Amino acid sequence: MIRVLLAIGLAAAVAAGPLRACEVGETTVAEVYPTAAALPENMLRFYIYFSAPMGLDDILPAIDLLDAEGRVLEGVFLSNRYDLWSADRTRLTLLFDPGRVKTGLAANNELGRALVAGETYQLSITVAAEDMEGCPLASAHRVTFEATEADVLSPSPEHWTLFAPSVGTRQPLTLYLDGPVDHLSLAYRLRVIGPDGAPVAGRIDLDEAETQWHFTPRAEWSAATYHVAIDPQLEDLAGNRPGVLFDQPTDAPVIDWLPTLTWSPAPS
Amino acid sequence: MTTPRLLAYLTGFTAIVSAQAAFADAPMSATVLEFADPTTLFVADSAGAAIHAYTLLEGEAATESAAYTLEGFSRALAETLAVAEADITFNDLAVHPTTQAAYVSLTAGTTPVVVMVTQDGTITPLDLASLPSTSTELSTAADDGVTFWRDIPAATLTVTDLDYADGTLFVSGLSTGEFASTLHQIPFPFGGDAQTSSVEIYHAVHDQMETRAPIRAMEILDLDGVQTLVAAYTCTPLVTLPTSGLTDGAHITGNTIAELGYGNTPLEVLSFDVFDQEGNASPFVLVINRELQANLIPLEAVAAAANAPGLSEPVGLGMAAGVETIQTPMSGVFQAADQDAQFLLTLKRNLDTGAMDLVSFRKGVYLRLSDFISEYDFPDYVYADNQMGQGTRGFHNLMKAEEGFPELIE
Repeated sequence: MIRVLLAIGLAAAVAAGPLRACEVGETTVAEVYPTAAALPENMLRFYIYFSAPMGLDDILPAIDLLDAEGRVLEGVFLSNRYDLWSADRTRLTLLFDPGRVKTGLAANNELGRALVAGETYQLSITVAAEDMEGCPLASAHRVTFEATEADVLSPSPEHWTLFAPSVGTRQPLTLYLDGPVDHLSLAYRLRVIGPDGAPVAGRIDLDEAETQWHFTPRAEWSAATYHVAIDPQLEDLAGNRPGVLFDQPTDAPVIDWLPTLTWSPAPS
Repeated sequence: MTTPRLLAYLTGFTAIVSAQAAFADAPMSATVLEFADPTTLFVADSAGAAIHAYTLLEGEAATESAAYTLEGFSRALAETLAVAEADITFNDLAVHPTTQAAYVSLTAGTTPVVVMVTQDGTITPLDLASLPSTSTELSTAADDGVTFWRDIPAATLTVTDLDYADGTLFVSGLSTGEFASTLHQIPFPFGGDAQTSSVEIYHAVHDQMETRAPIRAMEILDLDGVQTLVAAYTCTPLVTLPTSGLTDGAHITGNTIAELGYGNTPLEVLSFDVFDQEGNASPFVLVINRELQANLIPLEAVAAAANAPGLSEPVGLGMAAGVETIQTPMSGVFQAADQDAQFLLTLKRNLDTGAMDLVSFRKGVYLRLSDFISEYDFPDYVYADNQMGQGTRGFHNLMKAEEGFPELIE
C-alpha cells in the first residue's frame, strides 16, 4: 500500500541486543562542577562527569538532592524528555527547574527555590545510574555544599585582575575573576587573541573553585599586544552574563561591560 | 572596543555547520520528527548534535480517513524489533502528510529506530543508514588549538522541538552545557546560512522580569497573516512572537499570553482545523501536557492575545492565567500529531495495561468512547426514541466503528 524503503537491516541495527546486566560496575563519578563548597541559592546547574560513557535513559531517579537531615527534596531538577548529555555521554548537565529559580513564575510562588541560603545539602548519585553497558556505578557519590544568598550580580570583566606573563616565556596568563564562573564558560567562552587576530593555542587550567583562570600558551609570548576576548554568553553559576542578569527587570539600565581585555606581556 | 574580527572567533552558543552527505551514517539518536513534504522527513539526532533530512519514496496518498486503533502498540513493536518492551523509550510521532502513515521515533535499548506504522498495524522499521539523506550539524566551537585541564566535551544542542514552515526549519533546544534558549532557523535544503536568535520571555511578576528559558514545544502559525512562533515553555508559560523579529543575533522578548499551570511539562503544541458538517474549517491550537489536561485554544483567541499586551500580574497559587483554554480529557497522551481532517493521532500511555497505544482521537470530541464504561454500555440500555437519543446513538455507532468495535453498533 505504501512504498517506503523497507528496512532489511533491522536485525543488524539492533544487533547490540538487550542490555547486558552486571552485578558490579566499574564506572564512577569522576567530578562534579561547580566545585565550591558554598553555592548560591539561585544556582542553575550541576555538571556530573562520569569515568565512562553512560546509558542515556532515565538517569534522574539515581540523582537526588538531600537536605541536612538526609531527606530527599522533590521537584528540584528539570525533567526533560531528553537528558542533557555531552556527545560522548560522559557529562550530564543537571538543570535546576528554572520555574523555581526564576522569581515570579507560578512554580517559584508556590514552592520557592529548592535551595535556602544557610542550609546544607548533599547532591547524591546512587549506584542505580547505569553506564552504557547497563552496569551500575562502582560506588555511590555524594557532594556536600552550603547554600548562600542568591547571586544577583553579573560577572564584570572590568573587575577581573590580569597577571601578565613575561615576553619570551611560556608562563601562564592568569585571571582572578570577580566570582566563580561556569566551568564550561571558562573553557569555551574566553580566548586569548594574538597579534595576528587569531586565537592563541594553549591550555586552560582552573583553580580555586572556578575563580581563577590560567592560560599556558603552546609557544612563547612575543613582545606584542594581546587580547582576552570574552563571549557575551559567558555565565556565572546562576546564569548571569556580563551586563545581563538571569532574572532581569525589563526596565533595568543597559550595563556596559568590557568584552575584551587588552594586555601585553611584561618585558623580560 | 572589540572588533568584529575578535568576536568572530567566539561562536556564540551554537554554530550551525551544514554538511551534505549522500548516505549518512546511522544517527546516534532519533528524537524529534517533522515532515517538510511527502518525501522529506527531518529526524533530530540530539546525541549526535545533528538534524538529518531523509528522503523517502513518495507513497500513495490515503484515499480514506481511518482511525488508528492500535492498542498495545508497544507490545507489537517490541516483538517486531525483538527487544523487551521495557527497553523501548518513545520519543516522537509524526504523520505522513499524504499517506497518513504514522512515523514513530524511539530508542530500543541503545539503538535509535524510526518505524512506519499503518492503520492495519503493520510496523516497518526504516533503515536510516541506507536512506538518502542530508544533514546539518548543531555543533559548538571548532577546534582552535585550545585544550583544557581535563577532558571537557563541548556543549551541543539537545533538540526539544522542530517545526518546518516555508523553506525554514525552526529548531528549539537546550544546551548540554550552559543554559540557553536559542532558537535556530535553518534554511532547507541545507547549506544556506542559519540564523540564531536568543528568545527571552516576560513573565508575570510585579515589576516585569525577562528571563532566558528553554522552549519545550513550539509551532509556527499564521496569525492574521503574520508568521508567528507559538511556544510552550518549561514552567508552562505560552508565548507568541512574530518570526520576522528572529534575525541573526537578535535578542527578542516574547509575549506571554498564558500561564497554563504549575507542575507541568508541555509536550507538544500543534495546530489543526476542525471541520463542521458543511466543511467549514475552524482552526485550533492544542497544547499537550505531561501532567495537566490538554489545553485547546481557538486560533483566533491566540491571535487576539498575541496582539494584546501579555501577562503582567503575578499568577496566584495553582492558578492558570491569560488566554482562556478549553480543557480536554486527553491525559496519558504522550505525543500527538494532526492526522487528517477528522482525526488527531496520539501515542497514549494506557493506564490499565501500561502499554503505549497508537490511537486516534476524533477532532471536536477529544475522547475515545472505548476508554469509558458508562450507562450506554449496559446491554439493556435503550437509546430514547427522540432526536437527541437517536443522535447520540448515531454518534456512538460512528465512534464504535472507528475505534474498532463494529460488533457493538446498535
